[in-house]
Amino acid sequence: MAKQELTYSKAFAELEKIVSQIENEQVEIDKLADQVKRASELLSFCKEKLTKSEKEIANIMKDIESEK
Amino acid sequence: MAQSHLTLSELNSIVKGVLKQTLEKNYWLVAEISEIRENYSGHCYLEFIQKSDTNDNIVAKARANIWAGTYRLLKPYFESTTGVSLASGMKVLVHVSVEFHELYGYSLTIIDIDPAYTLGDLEKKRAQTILQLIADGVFEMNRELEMPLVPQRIAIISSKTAAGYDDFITQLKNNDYNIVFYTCLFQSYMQGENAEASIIDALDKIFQHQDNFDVVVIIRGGGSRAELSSFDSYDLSSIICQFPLPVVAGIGHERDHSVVDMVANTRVKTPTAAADLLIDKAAEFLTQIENLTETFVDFAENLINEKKHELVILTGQLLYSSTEIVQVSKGKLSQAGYKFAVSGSKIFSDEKYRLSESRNRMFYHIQKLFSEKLKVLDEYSRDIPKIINSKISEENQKVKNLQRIVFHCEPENIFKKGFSITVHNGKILKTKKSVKNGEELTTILADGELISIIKKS
Repeated sequence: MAKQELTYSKAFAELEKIVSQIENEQVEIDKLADQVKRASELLSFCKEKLTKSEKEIANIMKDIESEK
Repeated sequence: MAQSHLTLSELNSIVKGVLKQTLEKNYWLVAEISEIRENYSGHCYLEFIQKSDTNDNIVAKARANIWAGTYRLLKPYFESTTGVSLASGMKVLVHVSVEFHELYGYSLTIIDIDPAYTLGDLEKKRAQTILQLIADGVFEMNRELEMPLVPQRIAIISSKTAAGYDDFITQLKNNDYNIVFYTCLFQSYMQGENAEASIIDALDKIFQHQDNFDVVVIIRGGGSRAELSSFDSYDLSSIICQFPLPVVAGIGHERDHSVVDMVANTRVKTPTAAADLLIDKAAEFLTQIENLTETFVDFAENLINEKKHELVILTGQLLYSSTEIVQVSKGKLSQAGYKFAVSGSKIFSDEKYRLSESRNRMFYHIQKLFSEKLKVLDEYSRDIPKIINSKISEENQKVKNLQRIVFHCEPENIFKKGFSITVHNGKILKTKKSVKNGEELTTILADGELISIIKKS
């Protein structure tokens, strides 16, 4: 649980940070491009993880289920 | 004589008679069910026990039965009132008639039941369990756990054959957001005597794999009301309280009453509701990050537009100021140029005038000089021939004089006068002192030479 949850909440926290930075006008116009890129990276990372099945996890589930 | 004796059936009959005579027709009885089963014909057979007040030792036991006709009525009545089915471990208040049969012995026939007692007893037991959990300090623990942002990996405690299980899985698979969920079924009995141990066993297995899961879901078929006493168990509840993952209880209980319901992190009415709970949580996360990103993009766009606008204004200002500066400078320059031109030309004309003045004066002086010199030259040119002529005649005269002298001095003319040149040893003799007697002398005359010898000097 720990590993996966860190990923989602880390990504979320980072995204929140980026947004609050720009809300408080702490973003320099030059860094803006980088921030936009990072924000979109985070978004697609989360979306993919949410909607695309990861073989690794699916296999673990199968293994555990067949353990008994 | 042989001892008089009875047959067994005779004895039993006597006992039966005595009981019938002595006892009341019916008694209200409180007892604990230790065993209960229904047979195919609809009759219900039970075993009642009574446990000691101080420990778990059984102090009394009796068989009991509910005939099909009665049971058909009592069972739903009991279940609708208590919300549970008659089960082992339950204490019941029943109206019984005592039976003694020669063959089957002592037994009780149940003709009525007061479910309120059982309800009360169940409540009491639940309350006790809860108090104990509170005293243990664990009652709130699972409820205080935070459901993960995205409960994607789910450990399910259920039975494959339970209807609820399929509903749950289907609901998860067909969610509107195309969110992927990973499930692992930990097969367990969900009712009956074995339920409690089985579920605890499943929880234990999940515990060993806790890093692979985000949440535990316990689900049972929604309709079944049977045997929920397992879910009032102290042992099971205690484990759930202290479980490291949030536990979602969907055990299909109409009234959220069992202890498990109360200690679980979240309780839901049906397995489908459990699935919706998880889906909604994940979808909420999805929505949140999408919103965040949208907010960010908006701000970014605004920032860019703001800067663009600033830039336009600055450029305008720059343009305006620089044009102004240029204009002002141009003005100054042309003014200076004009001043320069004006003063310059004045200076020029002044200078020109001075120069021409100087030139005129110079010309004048030169001319004057020239004319003076010319005058002098004129005078000279007049005088010069005169002087020259006089000089020439003067020199002529001199020459003439010199010529006369020369003429006179010419040897021929001198010779003609009777002079002669005496040469001694090749040299012209000028003195007598240089000769000796007998030396030769040569005398040069006009018409030739004479050689003589000195006789006396």
